Amino acid sequence: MEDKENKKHRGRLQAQSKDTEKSVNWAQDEPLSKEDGLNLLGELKSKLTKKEYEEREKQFKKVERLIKNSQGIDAHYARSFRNIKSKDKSTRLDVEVHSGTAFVCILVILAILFYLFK
Amino acid sequence: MEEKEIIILYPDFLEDEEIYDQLEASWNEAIMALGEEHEISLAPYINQFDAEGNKYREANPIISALEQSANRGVRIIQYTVEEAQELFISAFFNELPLDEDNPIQEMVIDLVLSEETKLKALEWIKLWLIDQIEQEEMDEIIEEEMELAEEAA
Repeated sequence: MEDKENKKHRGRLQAQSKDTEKSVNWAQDEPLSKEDGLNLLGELKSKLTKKEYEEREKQFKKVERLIKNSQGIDAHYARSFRNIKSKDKSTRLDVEVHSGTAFVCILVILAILFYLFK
Repeated sequence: MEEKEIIILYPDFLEDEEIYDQLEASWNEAIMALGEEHEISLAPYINQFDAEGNKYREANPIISALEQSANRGVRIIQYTVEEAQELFISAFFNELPLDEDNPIQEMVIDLVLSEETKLKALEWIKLWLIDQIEQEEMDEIIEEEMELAEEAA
């Protein structure tokens, strides 16, 4: 079985409320790229029902902007984007970097790999 | 009955780095004082700098505090009045698996800052980190005491 705990770069994107608990995770040896981060965000969106997504539409846009504008985010990082208009106080979208680095430009990853294996 | 005037503290905290840093320091001071008063050590657990060393000044969170022996944490997210539209304070719970075998049990408070919401937040932090009451009980207190944006609107 793959040992996720030993992976250097871990985190998750999570849609939460009283009735919803859906997430996508990453656990890998190299930092998560922005592109993969955006793909994971799309994957999370595809897991939600139309209503669940609509309740978090603005929050998805905020997280998309966060990933696109990121210069690399280091652990330990946690941001919660709540729908403050929702009566359910826990309706939100979370971005968490549990270890390592996430949302880096793919060129940075290539440079790291080149440095490690040259 | 005369309505009490509510004064928003640090209203321009997202516009001015100096004001933001003062606000952050005031939260830090209040939370550390709470820990010292009860002889409990509290420490931040969320990184506030990006990979290039630039400080995040988005108030999400403005402050974090971990009580390590119980593995309980608090994050405070602060909104401007414009973001929240009206005064409010609420909180929710999250399991943050920085260590997958021992995730931090977090209470995440979101608020617009006034003297009243600051006092309420500190009271909730005391109940959660110092008195260590059960999440279910804490949730009931929050349900009873929270003020949501749409209720005030």
